[in-house]
Amino acid sequence: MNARIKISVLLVGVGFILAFLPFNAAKTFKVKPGELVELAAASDMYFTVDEVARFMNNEDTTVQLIDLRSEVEYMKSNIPGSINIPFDDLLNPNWEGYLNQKKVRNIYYSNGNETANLAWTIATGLGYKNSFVMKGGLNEWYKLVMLSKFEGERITPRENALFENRYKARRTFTEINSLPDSLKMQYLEARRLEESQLDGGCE
Amino acid sequence: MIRKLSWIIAFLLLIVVLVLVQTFNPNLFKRNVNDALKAAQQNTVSVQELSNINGDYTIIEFDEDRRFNNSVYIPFNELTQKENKEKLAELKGAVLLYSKDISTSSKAWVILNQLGFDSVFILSEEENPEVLNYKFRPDPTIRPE
Repeated sequence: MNARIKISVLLVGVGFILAFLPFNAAKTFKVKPGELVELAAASDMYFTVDEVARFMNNEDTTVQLIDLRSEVEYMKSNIPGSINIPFDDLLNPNWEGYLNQKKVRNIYYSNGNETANLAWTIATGLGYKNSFVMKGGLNEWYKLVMLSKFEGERITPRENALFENRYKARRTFTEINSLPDSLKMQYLEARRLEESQLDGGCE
Repeated sequence: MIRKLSWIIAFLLLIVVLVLVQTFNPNLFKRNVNDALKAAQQNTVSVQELSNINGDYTIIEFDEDRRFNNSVYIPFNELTQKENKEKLAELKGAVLLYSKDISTSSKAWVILNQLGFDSVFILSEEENPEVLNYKFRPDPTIRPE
């Protein structure tokens, strides 16, 4: 039989199958349910506020903090170095470059634990690697970092290191968040530009 | 002629089988992720609100030491096992997911939502678990360098 006829039959057949495929333009999870449960049950998806404070103090470029709160809440106060991706806007294609990448560890946070874990599950379900959650959210950050104080007469080297880490983070947090809104915007813009340049992109 | 086309027919049949397996595989997520984002706007019920719920509801607990009487215990890491999915599908009314750590029930909520379960809510100890309990006070002495 002529090869042309064979190819034609093959193409018509494939076209026929494609025509009857259920059309689904929806964005769906790539990870299988069992795998997602396994990933979600692992404790290594969390960073403590002390670890996040250390990342911030060291200006660790392998970490990207993602603030999931509204823009209004974010502008009132946020962890310096974080970017604002409101939870409602998580699937906006504009954020895909930040969320779906393999270079940095994305650490989600919100005020409590609920929203960050919802976002983590969605991101991980979509197959986005390197997703983590700051355990306890900003409430835990305020409790441990912003309100940390040393009490007692003696301090062990470990306690001292922990306290210094929190104290330094608190100072940076207060300094950045005390700036007038216009300067804060400039700071955030500068960071965004810096990130896009590091990423090899343009402004 | 059909014999000459047998490998093409076999290939097309293989594609059809693969498509059918993919379409009807119960072990895959098929729901639009946007559904989860939309439903998440109103997915939390507080313990204080339990008495206001009209109609049937079942509390699913993920912790071994139970907080509620008549709740159903499902270990989180067994959530997507066939028997547990069947158990959840048989429940009438709202399904309230509870864990001492709301992180667990939040993750379970997304997974169940994407598996197609509706009327599923997160049961929270706090009235609004996403409220910031602290207020930042700017330091007026700070001057930009």
